[in-house]
Amino acid sequence: MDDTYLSINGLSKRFGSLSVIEDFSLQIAQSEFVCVVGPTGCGKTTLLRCLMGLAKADAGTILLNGQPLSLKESCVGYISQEDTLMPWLNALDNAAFGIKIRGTPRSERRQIAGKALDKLGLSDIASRFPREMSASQQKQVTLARALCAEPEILLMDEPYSQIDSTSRRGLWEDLLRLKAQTGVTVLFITHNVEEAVYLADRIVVLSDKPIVIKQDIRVTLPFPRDIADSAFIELRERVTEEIKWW
Amino acid sequence: MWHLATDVWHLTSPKLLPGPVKVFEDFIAKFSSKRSDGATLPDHTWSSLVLVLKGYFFGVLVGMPLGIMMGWSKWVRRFIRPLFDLLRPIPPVGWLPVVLILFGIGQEGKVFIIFFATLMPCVLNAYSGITQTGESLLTLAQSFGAGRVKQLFFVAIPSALPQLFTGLRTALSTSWATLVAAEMLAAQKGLGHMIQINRMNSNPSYIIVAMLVIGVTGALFSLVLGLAEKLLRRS
Repeated sequence: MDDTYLSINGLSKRFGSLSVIEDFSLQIAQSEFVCVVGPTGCGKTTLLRCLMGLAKADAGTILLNGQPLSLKESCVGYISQEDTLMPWLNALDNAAFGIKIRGTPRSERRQIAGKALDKLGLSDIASRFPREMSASQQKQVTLARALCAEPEILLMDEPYSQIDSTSRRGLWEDLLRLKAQTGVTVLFITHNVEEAVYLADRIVVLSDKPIVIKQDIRVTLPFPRDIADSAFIELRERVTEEIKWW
Repeated sequence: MWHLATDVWHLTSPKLLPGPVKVFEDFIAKFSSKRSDGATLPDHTWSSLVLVLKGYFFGVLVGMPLGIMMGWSKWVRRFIRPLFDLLRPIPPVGWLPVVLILFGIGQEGKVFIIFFATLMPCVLNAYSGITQTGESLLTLAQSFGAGRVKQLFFVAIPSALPQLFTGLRTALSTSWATLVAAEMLAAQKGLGHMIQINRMNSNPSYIIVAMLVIGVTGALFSLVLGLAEKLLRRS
């Protein structure tokens, strides 16, 4: 691929005698939205941890725009399925948390975080603490926090798996809107085939460990996507067929 | 109830349990009177307060960082914990005979005992608070490029704040209890000494006055700690 932005080449990771990732390669173009679907425990999270540098790969290279990926150079945003809002901070300070770590001055970071919350329609809850927010509001604040740091790539590990289906649709719309505005590249891990078909430019289906790419499907459906549309249903069925063996 | 039991129904002898009116009168009188125990109430209170504050200050100064480091670094934990586990079961008052031999009945010995009484709850609560920091929060901080020091100051310590303050509050009540016990055994002034002398002089009213002063002072300290916790959380 000529326009490769994120390039994973020959990545391997073992835990003792267990090979989780072996010679794994994936190329992602700039501003592409790639959804990765794979069975539980296949090593998707390990793959993300390697991408973030939180787990050291035994072999292989990870390049972003031709340079080694580095957390310290502000290029990666990470959103996990767990609750990662700081319980002692309100929504505004939680949104500003990442840029606080990166040393942005207080007044500037509050301004950036305020704008990010505003984009997501969360200005009204800026002073609320996580315990005072709904689950979907918490996820939106998490997204605002990631985007405040202006990441070049957003790594999302089943972020909406614990959200009810009605709220999830709203979160998908927010994510697609912000992605369109910022042009951020997204690597999104999910179990939910409908979610993958709704969001992705490409769907990568993984095998069980050691993970290899079983199918790489380009999604050409236009946005906004309609889950009742026959082409949408057809693609969903096709991806579901690919993962039936789980 | 107290007033009814003592001054109205006379259920007990005033020599055993005086009524609140008598206690209040003695409380006022004791502000200027040295009768019975050789010092005024402000003298006793100040003497105890200085000892508690000194011992508490040094106990917190050493205990909090030690507990935080034990919780944060496996190397510190590996070296300090065995020693700490050895010292932990010894009650602060258990040090009294050793302290009397080493320091005599002066202030230093009592400050040491209060230091020890403060140290334990501070270390234990700080250690426990830091070790309970959510792994996902630390990973999140890491994803923004935070190294170990930033993770400690931006995530682990704020996350452990409620437990750090629990340690400070527990240490405060332990230090007062220890002070009173230490002063009862060896002192010439102080609220513990006031309780001990007036017990021997059969003067329960002054005992109750000293107890109330300890209670009110402790409550005031707790209030200050509560306000400090609120302020820290906001900042």
